[in-house]
Amino acid sequence: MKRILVSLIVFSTFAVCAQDEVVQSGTPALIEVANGKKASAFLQKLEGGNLTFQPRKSPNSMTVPAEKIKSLKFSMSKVEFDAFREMNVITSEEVSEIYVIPDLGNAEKLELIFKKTLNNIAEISYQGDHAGYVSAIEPIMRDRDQYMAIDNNLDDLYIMLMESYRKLENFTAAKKCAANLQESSDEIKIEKAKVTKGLIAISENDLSTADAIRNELSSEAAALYMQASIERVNKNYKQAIQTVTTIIADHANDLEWMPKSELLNAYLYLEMTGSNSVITTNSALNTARQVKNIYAGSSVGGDARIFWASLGGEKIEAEEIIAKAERVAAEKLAKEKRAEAEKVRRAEAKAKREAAAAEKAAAKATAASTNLNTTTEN
Amino acid sequence: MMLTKKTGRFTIFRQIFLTVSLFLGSTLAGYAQDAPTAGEMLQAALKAMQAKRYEDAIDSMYMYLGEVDESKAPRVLAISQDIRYKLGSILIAENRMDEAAPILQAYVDLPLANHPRQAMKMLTMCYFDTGAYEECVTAVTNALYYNENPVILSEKVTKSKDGDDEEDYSKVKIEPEADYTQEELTTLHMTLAESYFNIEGWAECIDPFTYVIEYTPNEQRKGYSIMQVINALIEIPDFDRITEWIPLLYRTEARFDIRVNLALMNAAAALYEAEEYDSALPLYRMILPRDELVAFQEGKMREIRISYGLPPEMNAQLTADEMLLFGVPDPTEAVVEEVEETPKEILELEQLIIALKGLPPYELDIQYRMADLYKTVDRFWESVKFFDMVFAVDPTSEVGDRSIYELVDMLLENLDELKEAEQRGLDYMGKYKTGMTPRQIAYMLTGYYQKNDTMGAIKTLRPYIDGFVRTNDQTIVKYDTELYFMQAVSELVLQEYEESERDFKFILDEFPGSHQEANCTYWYAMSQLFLQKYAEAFPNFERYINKFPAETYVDECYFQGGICLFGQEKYKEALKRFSYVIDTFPDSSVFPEACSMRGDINGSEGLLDEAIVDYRMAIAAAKKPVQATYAVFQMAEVYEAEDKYDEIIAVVESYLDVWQAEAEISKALFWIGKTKIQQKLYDEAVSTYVDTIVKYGGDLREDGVDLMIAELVKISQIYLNVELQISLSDKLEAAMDAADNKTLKLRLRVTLAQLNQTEFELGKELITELENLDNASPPVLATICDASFEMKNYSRADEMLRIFINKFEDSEYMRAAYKLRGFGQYSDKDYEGTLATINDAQALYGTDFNVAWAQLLKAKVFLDTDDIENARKENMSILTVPSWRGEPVAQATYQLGEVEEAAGNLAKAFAFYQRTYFQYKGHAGGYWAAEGYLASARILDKMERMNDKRNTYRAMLFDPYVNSLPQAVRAREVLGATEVAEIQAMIDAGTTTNISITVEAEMTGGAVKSSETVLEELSATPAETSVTEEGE
Repeated sequence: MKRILVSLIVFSTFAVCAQDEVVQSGTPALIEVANGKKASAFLQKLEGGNLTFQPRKSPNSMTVPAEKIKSLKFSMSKVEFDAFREMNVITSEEVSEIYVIPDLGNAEKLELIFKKTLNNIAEISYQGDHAGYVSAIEPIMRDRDQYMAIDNNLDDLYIMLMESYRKLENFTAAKKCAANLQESSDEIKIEKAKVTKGLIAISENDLSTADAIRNELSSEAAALYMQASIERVNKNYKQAIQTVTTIIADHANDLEWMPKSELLNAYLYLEMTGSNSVITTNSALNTARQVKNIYAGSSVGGDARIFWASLGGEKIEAEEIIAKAERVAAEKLAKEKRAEAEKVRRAEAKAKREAAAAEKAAAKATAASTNLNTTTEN
Repeated sequence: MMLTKKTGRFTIFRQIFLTVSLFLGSTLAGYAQDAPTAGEMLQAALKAMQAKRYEDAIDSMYMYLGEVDESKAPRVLAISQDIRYKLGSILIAENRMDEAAPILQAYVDLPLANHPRQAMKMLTMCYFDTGAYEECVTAVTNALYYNENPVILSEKVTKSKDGDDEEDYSKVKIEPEADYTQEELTTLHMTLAESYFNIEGWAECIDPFTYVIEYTPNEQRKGYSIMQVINALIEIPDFDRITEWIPLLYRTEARFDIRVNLALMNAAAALYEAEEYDSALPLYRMILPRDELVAFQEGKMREIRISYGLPPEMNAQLTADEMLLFGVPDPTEAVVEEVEETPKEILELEQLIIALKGLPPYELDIQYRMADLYKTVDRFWESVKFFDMVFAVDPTSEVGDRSIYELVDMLLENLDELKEAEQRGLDYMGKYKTGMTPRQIAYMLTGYYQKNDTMGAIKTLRPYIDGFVRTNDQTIVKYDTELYFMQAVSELVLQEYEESERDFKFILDEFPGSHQEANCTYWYAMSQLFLQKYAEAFPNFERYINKFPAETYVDECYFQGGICLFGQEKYKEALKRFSYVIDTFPDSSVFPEACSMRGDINGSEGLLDEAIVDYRMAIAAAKKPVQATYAVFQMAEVYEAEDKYDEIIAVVESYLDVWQAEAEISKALFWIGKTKIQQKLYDEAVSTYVDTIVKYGGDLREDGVDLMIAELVKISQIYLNVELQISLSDKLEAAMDAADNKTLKLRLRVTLAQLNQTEFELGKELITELENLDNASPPVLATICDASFEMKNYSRADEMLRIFINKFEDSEYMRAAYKLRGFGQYSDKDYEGTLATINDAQALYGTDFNVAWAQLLKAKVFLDTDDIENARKENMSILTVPSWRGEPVAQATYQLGEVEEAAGNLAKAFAFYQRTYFQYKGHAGGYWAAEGYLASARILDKMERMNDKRNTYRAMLFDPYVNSLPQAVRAREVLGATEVAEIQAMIDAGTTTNISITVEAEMTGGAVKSSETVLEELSATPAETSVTEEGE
């Protein structure tokens, strides 16, 4: 607790220093411009492709074309820190661990605490708890989401937020996220935004829009994923699963679309059990398990885990562990028995050999005695 | 960790070296007066070193160290240490690691070492390079420990300033040696990790590798270390931790390192073997294709070459752009340098690329393993995709072969995609006709068809199997035998016995001594048995018994041999054979059948008690319901013949008790009902039948219900009064209204139609009403057949006969289907088909009265095909069969007239026609008699005996059996209205005709002769005709 207290003092010191100099408002961030230079600032708005911000310690605001900004690095405010502490998103122990790292300045410690907090929030998503993730990340994104068109250290979390909204069927919020991302010049972000909009269109049964979006996608894997999703909603499961297997075969190292595609296959296998009696739940269960294991530590991994558990995976795994333990114990016992039997066998063999030797010696002695007798007789 | 003192082979080496040096030193001292002093040796060593004459320097240093080895003087000790350090460094530079190691070890072990860290580091290098990994582990451990816990005793020893001869040395503290840099630490950890790994210290190597992974800036090294961690975890084994490392590896450049890729393959294979599929799969995915690796490494090579100022490609020059870009001043110089001394890094990479290009392509193997892995975890569609890819790339390779096999297998067994499986399988078999795989695919498809009871499909494989290139390879020959065997079996199951007979014979001829020889012999004989080729089948059963006395079907062969004897009417031999089976194979599956067959023979010979004993044995030994069922109802027949109705009840009830739901309950109840009829308990019998029909009539397989329907109709017509008949109809109608089951409804409709004698009308309705006959039981089908026959509608004849054969083979109602089919074929002039159907019907029903049509039709076929002899013979044979007396004989007599007419024997023809109307006017409502009149008149016309012809017509109109039939119209037309009126007046007046047309032949005349007599007479003398007319 003492350490926490100290860390809080670090925060308050920053805040007091800031207040002492000039009145500043906006979202604190470190701006890196295209030429590599960095500056601390308070972001005020992003409008019409122009970013308005107030440089730290400067009373004036500046507006520059957003395209000149290479990236933004957001940091955490004290209010946010308090809130996350209260929500137990980051624990006292975790803060303490960071605080005791030697040779680190306060700013670096704060950065690590923020990073840890974000990791913890991401972890909620990795567990497949989308509602929990949304409620944890929304406060951070509230003032920052307007800047998401510019590359920043919250990009991944924001994309996860968009996907969580979609999965929770909060399509309005998901579309807003997608719109923000589509303002970006980053092709990957734009692609993800488009796919999200396409998937929403599928959920809303607007397949022509979904198909139009599919045609716009530059990533073949993404387009195939959309195609499979459309085929799925049309209950053409076999075709859908074949489309997904094309992704798996041709884009095995596409870490963006592979996890989603494999999970989609897990769902498709389950859905096929209704239409094709030959496919069993095992296919869905095993696919989900593989996605869970291979992509552990990702949102898709979390979704796979929940799906896997819903199919009874946990129970099966527990049974397998017990069975394995029993097997190992049985093998061990058998081995011990074999060893014991071998020991007995060797002892018996030895005894037998010794008895035979003794018998032989006795026979020899007898023979010698007989010879002696014979000799004597002679 | 404590510093440890190293002893080992290098220490021994050092001792030997020193001993030799000392020996040489002392020896040389004895012979050479100008032998150098230690100081001179030292000077010589230093000079040689400065002049880069390292070999000389090494020699001098060794000599110096040998010379001063005994010295305890601090200054000498200090200089010796310095020389050791220098010597160690030069030896390493000269790549004489094994020599450097003991020198450096001595340096580290002895005091006054100024560079212990560097020496320890060099020592690790020596040990590692010479494969002394255990020593290396110790050396690295010592180095790292020392780095953290240095012994600050290093002192510089200098000569005193006054320079007196007397040695006076003072000790001056020196600055401690600098700690290892991060790069050095990383290298030391890497060396330690690799050493541990090489001595199988799997658990121990993980920490140092982890250190390298954390600190190295080199992506390649990082990836390699991760891969080694994974390999170590596999060896431990600790599979759970492997999954954590895989994503890390994925993010490094090491993915493009061939060593990492090879290690990935090994690791993935090990994980696969350990059934750690979830860990193996991402590793397999990570393995890059060879071409991709080569391209990456070549790109890297270009970068490195450029960084050394070399042209990007070997033996090429930098372009102007490249020079501008990379700032290489003099390309000529660079090329010269390359020739003189290629950097080690480039050489290594060159070797790597050469090795990479020399590797056989491994991508297909990887894809195959992935396909297999997906299959193992039930991800069948993914598996199909990958097998497909492998097959598409190289269909003739081993993995290609296996892939197509797996593909077809999965499509059939796991995905139930028959069409796709067939398409791929057939396509493959069509293109690739050699080796094992096409056979395996044919075998697999055959197995699938068998399992799914689609035997017809098996035959579609025949052209492919015939197309396979034969070989002497025993395994392939076995496959071929098996494939042909399954072809023949499918034909057997499809009841295509002629084909199965041919094909079992084919296997016996083509694959003599095959593993299926015994089975083929048996089924070959069985095919012949099914074809009723009893005489041909018998020796084959005998052959089996003699050649394969220990095989499965020996008892069956004895039994079936008995059936062959029975079929040849060799009843005594058959009885003997069945007795042999009964005595020899009491546990055989055919034992009950043998008992029943013997019972049948005994019964047919009037030995009813013996028959009963046999049937009882059959019932007691029955293993299947059908075995008991046959014996029970045969027994019931015997008891019925003896009026032993109580025994019938007893045996049937016992049967029901034993077999419960498996028993043919409806048939049993039929017998119980029949007994009640005999006991005159009609109400009870009716009630039993109605209840049973309603209860079991919904099941097509309950043929007892069908027997009951016939029996119920009979009871109603014979024993019930009108009131009870109406009551019965009402009950059946109520049951029909209440029934949902279509089969039951149809059965009840037929029953009612038979009771009301409206079968024909119902049959007509059903022809149009029932699009498919799935719910039609035998009486329903028979009703449709009869109606169709009446309407001469043969369109569904084939379909209905097939339904009977496939579903109701033992049904009595099948006769109607045979009749319809036979006449249908006749109507289409398919005489061969007609005769085949007739043969089948006669084989089943013999000379039953209601199958006389078959013999009559056979005679007609021969007549139509101008086979007068056979036509005559077949018609004649009808006259000899007692059960066909009556209408069949009437028709046969008429047909004999037709035969003789066709043969031009008009008098004989006339005689038969005349006999028809003389003797058989009471049959078939006078139909054949009327036809006989008309045919007689036709003959007389041909004989130009017009008066006789006229008299014949007159006689026809006088004949009360025929004069109201449609055929009489012809007589009226010929005679004219006046004469017809006159005849009518005479009839009305009570006049009877005595018109007789005499044809001068023995068989003519009014006396009725037996058919046998007629036959004899006909075969004796051709008739001469004389016609007389008598009128009254």
